[in-house]
This record gives sequence, structure tokens and C-alpha cells, in this order.
Amino acid sequence: MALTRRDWLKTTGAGVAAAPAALGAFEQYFQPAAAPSAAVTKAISCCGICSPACGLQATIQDGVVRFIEGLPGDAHGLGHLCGKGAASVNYLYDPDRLKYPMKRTNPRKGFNEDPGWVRISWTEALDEIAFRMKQTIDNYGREALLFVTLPSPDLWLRFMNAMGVVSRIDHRDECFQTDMVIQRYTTGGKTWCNDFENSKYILLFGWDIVAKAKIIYANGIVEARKKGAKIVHFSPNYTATSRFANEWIPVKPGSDLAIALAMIQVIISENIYNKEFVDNYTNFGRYESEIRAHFAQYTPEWAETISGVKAADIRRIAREFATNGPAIAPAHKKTLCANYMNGTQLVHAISILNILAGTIDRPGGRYFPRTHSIPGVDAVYPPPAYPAKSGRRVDGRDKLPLVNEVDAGLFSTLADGMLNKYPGMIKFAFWNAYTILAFPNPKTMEEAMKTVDFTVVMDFIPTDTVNMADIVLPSAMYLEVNDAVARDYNAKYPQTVARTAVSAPAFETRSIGWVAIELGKRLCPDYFKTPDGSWINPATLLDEKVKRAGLGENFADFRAKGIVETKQPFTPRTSFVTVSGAEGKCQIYVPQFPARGADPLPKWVPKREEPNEHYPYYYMTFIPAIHKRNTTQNMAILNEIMPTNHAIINPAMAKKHGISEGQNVLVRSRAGQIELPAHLSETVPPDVVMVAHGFGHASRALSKAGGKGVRDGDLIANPSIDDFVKAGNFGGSSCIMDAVCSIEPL
Amino acid sequence: MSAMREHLAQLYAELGQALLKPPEEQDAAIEYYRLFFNPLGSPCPLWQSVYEKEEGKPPQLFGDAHHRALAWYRRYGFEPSAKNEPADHLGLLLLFYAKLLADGEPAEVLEQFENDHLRWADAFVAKLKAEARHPYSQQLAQRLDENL
Repeated sequence: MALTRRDWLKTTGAGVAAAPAALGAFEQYFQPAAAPSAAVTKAISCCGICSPACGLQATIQDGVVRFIEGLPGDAHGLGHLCGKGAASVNYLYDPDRLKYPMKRTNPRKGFNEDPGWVRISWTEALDEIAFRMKQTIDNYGREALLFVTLPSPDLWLRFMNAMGVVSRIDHRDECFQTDMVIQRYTTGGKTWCNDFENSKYILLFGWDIVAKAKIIYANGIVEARKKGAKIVHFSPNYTATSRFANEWIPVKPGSDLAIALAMIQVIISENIYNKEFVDNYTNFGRYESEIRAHFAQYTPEWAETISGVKAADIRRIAREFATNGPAIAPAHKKTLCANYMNGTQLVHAISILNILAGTIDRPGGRYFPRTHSIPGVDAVYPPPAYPAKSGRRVDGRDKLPLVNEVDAGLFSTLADGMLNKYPGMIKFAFWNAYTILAFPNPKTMEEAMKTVDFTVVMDFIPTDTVNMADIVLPSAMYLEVNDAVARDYNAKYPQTVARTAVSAPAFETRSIGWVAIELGKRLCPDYFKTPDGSWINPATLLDEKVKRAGLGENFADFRAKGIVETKQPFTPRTSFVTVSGAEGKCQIYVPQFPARGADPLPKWVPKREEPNEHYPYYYMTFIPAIHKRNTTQNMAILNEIMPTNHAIINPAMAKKHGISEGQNVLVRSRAGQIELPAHLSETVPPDVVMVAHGFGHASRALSKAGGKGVRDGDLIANPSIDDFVKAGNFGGSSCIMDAVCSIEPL
Repeated sequence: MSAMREHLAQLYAELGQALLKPPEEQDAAIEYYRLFFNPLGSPCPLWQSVYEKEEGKPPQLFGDAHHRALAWYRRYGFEPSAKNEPADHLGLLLLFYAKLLADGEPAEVLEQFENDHLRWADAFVAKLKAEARHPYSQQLAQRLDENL
């Protein structure tokens, strides 16, 4: 047996220097210390968990973030962070983080195959990716490329445009895409901002706004309530927002549209709309007869038969909304916009309610953000002409012309496109920061991924998509990059906050913007050169953006300021929709829609699935307050608070089926089945089974979240683009909880 | 005794290097990355911080152990060459321990470093022994087990 260190230490005294045979290795991995240690500093940055990107302050010791907190003066976080944001140091230093570029050595792919990963250099990774892309284009055309990514940052979008990528797919069909489509034609653009604090009447269709930790929205609701606003919440289940509201009105799942249509009917038929706004800033007068005739059918009595809400209540709330203003009916992400097949129609109806209330870009209403104009790379360094995007989109989006115009989506129809419409068309896929859990019916997406010859996955945590990757690229995290982030959720005047790299990119992580430049050098060099012929440098580009936006002489100057704001009075808009024929007015009736396959006025469309003898219950999903969709389940503290999901059912349903608290149940739909423990709660109606989204990560790599819970999407039938066209879902609502189910104890 | 020191310095330097540098043979390299840098989850994380739960904080990279290790290194005028990686990598710790041995640091200093930075390695070695599937990693686990 070898002499151990402990044995030896017992017998030795002060040592005599040994021969330096071992020092070769030491000198390879150590160097003389350059910096004095352990100075504690503070720096400003922005969160990246969700889109408001609240300002934050990081306490940094020796280059390592030890603590983060809210940033006083920031218009979004108002000096605070939500639990997710505050816990994001867990994200930054998660032991599971992807650390180096890696390559698969086992060509067989699947969840049960060991990929045989080996580390490769960035140069080798980028060379291989560039070679594969070029080979794919040469052999199969640009339509054989799939990029699953948001169209940002601008350098990354430039790369995709320069390569003529046809199928760039993102998740916004599961988010607010329907609202992008509708607002482009009804108000003139996406009204991100909700002036809750100056509103007197807040009407919420389903949105659990208090629990969803967007601080600026939750805070606005609280301020409004303090100032005496009335809050009405239509929702099948009783939520934190229901408890906070003055009135919670239970509705049948997917029936909000009927209520909204009936409210419009009441407001129009009783002529109680905001006459000043409607007469001056909308096309109501021009299309009055069509509008009145169309909505006459949608009486509160009719809506009662569909929604279960008493006609008298609908009529009363419509009157209150129209006359007790300023009133607002926000439409935000997921909830409302993407839940059901009738999401597009619902969003149109809600937009009309806001127009009738006369609060578009008015105090107490939905308004357009006033932001600093920060130029993108194409403005700073104008590119050569981009090639035409020739080829078929694998998601079939071209069948929804209005969705094409806003250039988002479609996650929901991607799997059907890859497996059924255009099988084998996609040969090369690049996934950037998305997991298959984000797809309706992730099982089908798994099958679709198997059909791709070569897949690159760039992410900062090892999601389920890594299983299918040929090359894995480790992504820098939002606390490791520099940027200028405009405030666009609370933006009555422009304010921009510096996102600074409060921690150096760990290991060999890199930003997607850097990857864009490096791939650009290999594949489309003319698009990544400055006018003097040098390569675009991200730091120089950011300096130029900051300077042109008036935020500072350069990024260092802006960073020293931290927050730059331009205080100015809020001047309500008098000109709205800019599309041809709108004449600058808000459009209740949208005359441009019929030519684009859409209805000019919202009509009743049922949700895709209704309870039946096989599946007698509604299936609902939700995003719990403590997590951000499917991305934060592996954050240690958040995982500790909520590690898994349950089938939440009413005690009456439990009694009917002999189910007790914590008992495992089998929930089935026509698309699949899930097994999970039951949780009994009076907050859920007796005909609803409710399951939290974001759980069921299969990846063993996620040491906290892996293998916990089930995927809510396994019960959602995979839609096709034809289903959307047939159902009049012209805004492409992805039906993320449009399902019915059965339940039985196990 | 200096021969023994030299022997041990060499031993720990070799062990440290074995954890820092992947083997050249492909199957052994695949095993190295599967165990330590697996994009599908590393069964044997190499960093002390991951094994030590700080009060109120979950195990994470760049935790207190990283800062304490850096302080040790700097006290002797060194720091790791890899700037953006945690300083409490077991390979670095063993290399530094070898350096202390080679430089003739007294037993109290060696023991202090052991207390600060090597005791957790038992947990690492236990994981490695349980997870090793290849002669390369099985031998590495055995050598570490015998000498830590």
C-alpha cells in the first residue's frame, strides 16, 4: 500500500526543499499573481431572466459576483428584483453550465445513446459548423437550414439574413405574436406599456398579473388599487390576482372571447364608448354600419350560454369599463394571446375594447413606449444587399400572411412541418437558447429533431436539446456581456440602462453575437466588415451605438452613468395605424384583413377542443410565479422552492374519482398521457385539471431539475398550419393549452 | 526526508495534472469528458465549491472555496493561468499542494492547506470510484483513493 500524505505528515517536520521535478506542471497551470486580491466593488447591469430586463446592482469580489439586488432609479424594477432575478447568481455559477465547445463522437442519436463528447476548440467548432452549413446550402438549398432562435442580437440576425436563412423560428406564437399581428393594424404597433397606475378600471382576461413577477406590471396594479381603481378578473381558476381584484368572475376555459365580444356589443349598442377618441382617432365612423351589424349578434345573453358568466354581470362590467375610465384591458404574453385556437380573435376584441375606452396612448391606458433610438448594426454599418429568401418555410408560416409580416413564430407547427409536410427537408439546424420543452407536444419535436443530419446547440445550461446535438457551444450569460438596454415597459419618457459584464465569461463561453461574426468571417465576410475593410468589432460597434443614441461618448462613458434618461412631457399620439388605407387612425374594422385571409372584425370561434365522453375535463396549464417558463427549473433556490409539478384538481373531482392528496394519477388526452401526483385545491374548478408548465426536463445534465415532474405539453395535440387556416387562427395562436383530458388514480 | 518530499510532490503533481489534462487516447478522453465536463451532466464535478454548501446558498461554481484557494495561491505569489475558471479545481489544488511540498513548506502549512482544500476530495473520489467505467478512470480513482 502506498504511503499516504497523512502518514507522511505525521512523521515529518519542517521540510527541506525537494528537487523541483514536479514544477513543470505547476508552471503550466499557474503564473505569477498580477493583481492584488479581494477588492469588493459594485457595478450596474440588467437582468436577463425576462424581457423587462430590470436594472440591478452586482456586488463583485475579485471578479466574481457575490450578490445582486435591484437598481434604484430603474424604471422597470423600481429598485427591486423578483425572486427569479435575485436568484440569477445561481444561474451564472450553476455547476451544470456548459463550459467548452464539445463534439459528439458517436453518430447514433437518441436519449439513450452516449454521445461520446470530446472537447474541441472554438476554431474547430466554427470551421465544422461553417463547412456543414455551406455543404447543406450547396447540396439542398437554403431551405434546408433551420435556425431556432430569436432574431437578436442584431449581429446574429445579420448573419442569418446574409446567409438567406428561410426558416428562422422563434417562440412568439406561444407568447404575444397574435397581439403583434392585431396591434399592427388596430392601434399602430405593439403597445407594450400599461399605465395601470393612472387607470381607474382594469379588466383582466385570465392574466394572473400579480403572481407573474414582472415587477413593473405587478407594481402598477398595486398602485392602481391603492388609488381606488377597480380591478375585475375573468379567470376559470382563483389566482393571486383573483384574490387581489375587486371582482373575480369565473369563466369556462377558452370562453373569454365571448365575453369580450358581448362587452363590445353593449358599449356600441348603448353608445357609451369614448366619443371624443372614437370620433377623432378611429375608423368607427367610416365602418359604423358594418361594425354595429356585426356585433349585434353577440349579446350578453348569448355570451352567458358560452362562458357561464351571467348576462347581467357582462352588461354591468361593460358599462363600468366604458364609463368609469380611464380603463384598460391589457393583453400580454401566453395568457390570452396564445392559449387557444381563438386567441387571435380574442386579442382583436380586446384591442377594440381599449379603442372604445379611448385610452390608446392616453393616461391610464395602453401606450407606446418612448425610448432612446439605439441604432442596430445595419444602421451603423450598412450591409450589402441581403440575398432573397428563396425556398419553403418548414413551419408553413407563409400560409398566414399577417404572421409573415411580423416575422415571428412558429414553434407550434414546426414539428408537423418537419415530419409531415416537408419530411427530410431540414438537414442542418442551429438551436440558440431554446429547449424542446418550449414546444407544444415536445415528444413530436424530439422525433422531428432526429430527422436532421447535423445539429448545433448553443445554450448556457444543458437542456434536452443537447441530446440531439452534434456540436454544443457554450453561451455567455446575460451578466457576462455589455449592452445598452432601453426601458420599454414603463416608458413615458426614454430611459436606458447599461448592461455591463459584471462577471467575465466563465470558462470558454462566448456570446451569440461573437459567433455571428466568426461564422460570418467564414461564410459571408462582406457582411462583417466595416467601411475601412476591418472586421466588425462588437466593442467598437457598441461604442458607436451608444454615441449615436446620445447615451455617452462611448460605452465606458455610458457605463459610468449607469442610467441615462431624457425627461420629457408625455404627449399623447394623434396619429396611429400607418398601414396603407388606415389614414393614421386606430382601426376597429380592419379593411386590410380580408385580403390577407383574416376577418375584418373579431367573430366567435370556439376553442379547438371541448370536453367529450372520452376526455370529460378541461386541461389548463400555467406558469408558476417562481419560475420563468422552462428555463429556471435548474436554478438551485427556485428549484428548492418549487421542484416539480402536480395535477391540481378540485376536491370534488378528487372525490368523484377516489383520488387523495399526493396520490399519483394518470392524465390522458388524445395526444398522450402523463403520470404525476395530485394536489387538491378549491382554487381550480371541478371540471379542470391544471398542470404547471416548465417541468419534466429529461436531461440528466440538469442536476437539480432533471427527471423531476412531467411535461405539460405531452397532452397538447400538435397542430398543423392547415388547422390554423381552417379555424381562422390568422395570428397563429399556438394553442398551448387547448386540450381536454381524463383523469384516473394510480 | 527530502527524497520522500520529492516523491510526494511528484505524485500529487501527477495526480493534479491527470485531473487537469485529458488523456490522449480517444476512448479515455471520452471518459474524461463524460466524467468531468459532460454537456449532459458531469457526474464528478471537479470543483470544491460544488461540494460545500455555504450558508444560505446552494452549491455553485466560484463559491467561497474559490476565493480561499485564490488567497492561498496569492500568498505565495501565484494565481491560476486560466483567468475565467474556478481556482478550486481539484487538479489545481493538488498541483499547488505539490508546490508547497517541493518548496519545503513546514508540515503545519501543509496540514492547513489540506484542511482548507483537500478534505472534500473524499467525496469527489467516492463519486469517481462509483462512476468510473474505463480502465483509465478506474486507475485514476484508485490512485486518488490511495493517496488522498
